[in-house]
Amino acid sequence: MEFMQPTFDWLGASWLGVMSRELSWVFVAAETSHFIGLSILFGSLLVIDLRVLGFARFINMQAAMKFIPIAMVGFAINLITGIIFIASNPVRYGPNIAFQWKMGLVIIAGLNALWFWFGEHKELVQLADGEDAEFRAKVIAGLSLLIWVIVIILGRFMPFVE
Amino acid sequence: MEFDFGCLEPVGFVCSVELSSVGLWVTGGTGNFLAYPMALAAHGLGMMTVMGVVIAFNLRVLGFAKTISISAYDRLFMIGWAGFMLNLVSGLLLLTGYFSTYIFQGSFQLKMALILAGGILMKVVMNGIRNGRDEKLTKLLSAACLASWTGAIVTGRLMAYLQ
Repeated sequence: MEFMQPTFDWLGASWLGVMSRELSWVFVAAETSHFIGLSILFGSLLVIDLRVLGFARFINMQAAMKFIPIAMVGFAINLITGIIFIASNPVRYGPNIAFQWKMGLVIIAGLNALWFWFGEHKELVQLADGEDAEFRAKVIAGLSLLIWVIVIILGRFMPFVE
Repeated sequence: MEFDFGCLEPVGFVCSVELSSVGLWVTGGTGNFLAYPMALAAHGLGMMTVMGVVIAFNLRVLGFAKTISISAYDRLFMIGWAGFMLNLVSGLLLLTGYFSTYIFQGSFQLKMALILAGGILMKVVMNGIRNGRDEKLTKLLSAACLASWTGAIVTGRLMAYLQ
């Protein structure tokens, strides 16, 4: 991930980097918030994706879609706290193989979410309670859960592959 | 002592747990260094699943996405329970490996208390809805439930920093 290193270095030298290194509680607070943010994101995706997959088919589809902004709040928390991690130690993350895979998968998850929104959302909100979604939508929902599960596992493995 | 894995005091039961075959397997004492990161990853995944279901359910109880019927959450609870079991097993493994560290740790003790409180509150909130109890009280208990589980995450994270 060498192409990102100048950005990471800039973050490290910024006030955010200085603050996160000088105030010891900042990193701990960011780490805790990262866990909470991921729980918010993952919980929202469980509602949406398990409904689309048909496992929780009696969840009202339109109401399930209301969890999309909640998922985005969770993602925003994780993006901000993730930037704090990099700022606190700009040379730590770039070379980490688990971090590289994690970032790659987060981008794929984002593209998958765009496909869901622009390709399937309109049809899905028409579904009645208990009605089955199209196979294509199920593939997107299944991929979404699978990718985020791997992201969670890779995140936990990061300190062990340094 | 043959092993030197940091378990010195108190000798006896506490150390014997840590130095058991399971304890040594978790901490890498048997030469398997994958057990600890795998238990930790499983614990993280289980936690996100449990917390995710707790958040999704309590947001609904607090009035968000009201058109989802509470009974439709039953399937989600199954996933939540699966996450909880994953956490119970991985948590017990981690506890066995680092018994002398965790068992006396204030943040660990508080985490256990908050998980217990959070679990009981989930049940109380659910029963309140099924029995049609006063909505304000149910919402208050639901907020307390969310706070308990959030506190469990915070104290769980602090275990890595506070000795």
